[in-house]
Amino acid sequence: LIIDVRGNAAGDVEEAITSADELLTSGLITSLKGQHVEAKTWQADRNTAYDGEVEVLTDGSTASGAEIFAAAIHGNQRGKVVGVTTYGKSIVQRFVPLQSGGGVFMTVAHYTTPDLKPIKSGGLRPDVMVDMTALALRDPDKGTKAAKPREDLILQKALQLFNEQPAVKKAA
Amino acid sequence: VTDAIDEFSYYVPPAQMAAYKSFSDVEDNGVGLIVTKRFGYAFVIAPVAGSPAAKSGIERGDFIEKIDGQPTQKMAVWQVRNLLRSGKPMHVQVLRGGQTKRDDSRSSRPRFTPSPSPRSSLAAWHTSAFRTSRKGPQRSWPPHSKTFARAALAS
Repeated sequence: LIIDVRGNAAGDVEEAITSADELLTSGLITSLKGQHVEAKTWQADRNTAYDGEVEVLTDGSTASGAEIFAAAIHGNQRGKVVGVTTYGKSIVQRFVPLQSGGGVFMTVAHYTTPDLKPIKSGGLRPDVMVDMTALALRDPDKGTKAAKPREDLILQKALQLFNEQPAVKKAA
Repeated sequence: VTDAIDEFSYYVPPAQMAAYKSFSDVEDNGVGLIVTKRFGYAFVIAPVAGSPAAKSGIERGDFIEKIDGQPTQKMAVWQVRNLLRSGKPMHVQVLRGGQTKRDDSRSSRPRFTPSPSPRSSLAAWHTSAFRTSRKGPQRSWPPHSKTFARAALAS
């Protein structure tokens, strides 16, 4: 099963957490930490919708709930994350009024990976990084309508990894 | 000071509070641009797949220099999001990494006009999301993701 969360940068975090839970039978999915916010953790329950092999595709636009999902799969060794480092925006923000009459909308908490590292600036590094620079060099004309559809290097890599897996088992 | 917290935090001066109170900060603004601020400019985290922004050629990593001629440099991110969800056709000028000339390429000045009448379900989504900004983008975690995932896996 390949789950593509590239370009997924918004939406309901709780839905991302329950989706990760569908693929996990144990372990920490994520936790929420902040100085003035009640700490929270989400543990996977024993029920699962699918127990086969999983890969998750990420890119620089993978943010928020999608990062939590990818981190949960990655951190619990449930499957490989393939692609590019994610954006780093799994945070909770709140408006804090000031005496002046104005206010500050600020980050007050962050979600973590299963090993309790914050998913903030810098993002989540995939298990298998796909180098996209070659593609950019090959296609300097990107963005114009005449340009050919670009190859999906990340998906190609993910499929290649799936195909390699039986061979590895045989060798073992 | 807010810049020192992170790129997602911002200050609202007292004079802007009235406008700010009428703004509800949803990540997706209907045109499909999920933005933050970087180096003073509005910065595209993601164009939602299939959205007017994605169709117009805007890419992840683009800097939005101007919206309808107004520079984003002096705006807080909520003001940028507020402009983007105005519901009117707009002209967005972007600056893309590696390009030094600003008007030498068509793609550096995408125009987009959200579809006013729903023709397909996707168009309906754009229109409804654009008008109300309440319905989430397709490429995200919509409600009942778990149910969809179970149904997809069962088939």
